[in-house]
Amino acid sequence: MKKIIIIFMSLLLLITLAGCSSQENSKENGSQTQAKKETIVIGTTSYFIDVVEYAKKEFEKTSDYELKIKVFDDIVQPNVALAEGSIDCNFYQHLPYLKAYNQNRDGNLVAYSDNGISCTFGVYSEKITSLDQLKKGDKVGIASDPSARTRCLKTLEHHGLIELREGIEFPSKRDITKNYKGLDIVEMNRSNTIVASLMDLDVGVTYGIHMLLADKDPASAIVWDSKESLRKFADILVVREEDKQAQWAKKLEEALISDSTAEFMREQFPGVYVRTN
Amino acid sequence: MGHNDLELLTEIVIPELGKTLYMVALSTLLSTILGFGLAILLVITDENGLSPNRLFYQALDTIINIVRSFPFIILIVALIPFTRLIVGTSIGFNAAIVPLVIAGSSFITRIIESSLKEVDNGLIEAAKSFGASNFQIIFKIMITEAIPSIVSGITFAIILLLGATAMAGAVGAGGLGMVAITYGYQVFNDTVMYGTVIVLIIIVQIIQTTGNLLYRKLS
Repeated sequence: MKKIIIIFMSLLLLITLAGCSSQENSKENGSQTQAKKETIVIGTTSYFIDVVEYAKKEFEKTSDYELKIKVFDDIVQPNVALAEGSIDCNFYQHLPYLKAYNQNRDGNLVAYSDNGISCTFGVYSEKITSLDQLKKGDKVGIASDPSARTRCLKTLEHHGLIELREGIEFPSKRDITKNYKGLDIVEMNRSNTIVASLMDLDVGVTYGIHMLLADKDPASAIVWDSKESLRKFADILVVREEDKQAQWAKKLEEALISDSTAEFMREQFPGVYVRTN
Repeated sequence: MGHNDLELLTEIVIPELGKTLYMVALSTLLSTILGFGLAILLVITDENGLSPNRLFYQALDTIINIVRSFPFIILIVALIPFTRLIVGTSIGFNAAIVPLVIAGSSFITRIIESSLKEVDNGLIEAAKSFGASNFQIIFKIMITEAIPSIVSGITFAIILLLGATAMAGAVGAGGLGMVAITYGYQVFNDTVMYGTVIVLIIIVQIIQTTGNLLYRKLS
């Protein structure tokens, strides 16, 4: 019995040590390559991975840097990581969210510029073809995370289905002051569940990219969010204040909004991304 | 923030608390029933059991391991078609019960199985020598002996299920966990975030204390 415990604990120890040493190795490699090329680490979320991977190639050609991509599955951590210095920039959020982060967390993160990439956003349905067909009690799926939820509610407001309380930065279900059709608004996960559960909803309000990733047609939206919304909620490159003038930031942004990246987005992800510059 | 935080707490926390408690209570009840059944099957068909059946045991054992390997959020999404079949929809707190019960019963089965296996073999042998039937051995001897340990294990499982309901918010089930994340953490509202956590701490304390009391009463 004692033997088994000793063997088990030794195995755990070995695995832990192996994990530690591989991390140290990569740090060493990092500092070795630093002699020839510096590494910039960019944080992003799942629906921009392909675009950032593509821009990486261009960035590495036009600059003296290597780009390392770190993927987060959380909408707060990429800013926290940026503020603490474990990444150099991030590309996943829109300006309103950045402002809220800075306000509430005393942050000094800045958008590199006004240029960015916006994701198309619409009201999708497998049951109806026009908003007029919505009836009392119909289920409307909206994102639960405040960043996307805001855009969902603003879209519904834009099309005259609801009215929202004024002055709320990130409104939620609670901030609906008028619900003209008596709709049942359900807050849920924006990507896999709104799209996967579209047949259980009457409409779902979400990003075209999530529809595309689920093999559904992003262009099939009944209605879209407003042009102002598309601009306002464009995702931008964010860096720490002190890097606002950095050369690598300039090159990186250029790569992200370049014509060839735009072409790539048009071809591989039709109807999903819109450059805003 | 534009809201009275106290207002938020009472307007959101109370209804979502209700949903959380409903999800935890119902999923625990159903998981325990299912878990008991599966655990008894495992214990009987085990090689040292009352009616060994190697193939059956291996099959059931493997299925339970597979279910337990799924990260819960992925289990929720993977089960959407099945959930739709049973509940008629894949969204809402009733729909969330399906993945909660699947995950919960796989966990509780293991707990009950191990509690039953701990029962002194001597007692079982003695019962056999008195001519007790398998049914009597299982229900009169094994389960009775294992009850305190089972109660203790289920207390543990309830608290785990409580944690799992936080992810059920992804399918529109609501619940306190979702409130803490989407009305607290993600909008940088510490009052809501920690306020909700405090409510959860109180709930867990109540559950654990009740479990401990029951354990002592039953031992």
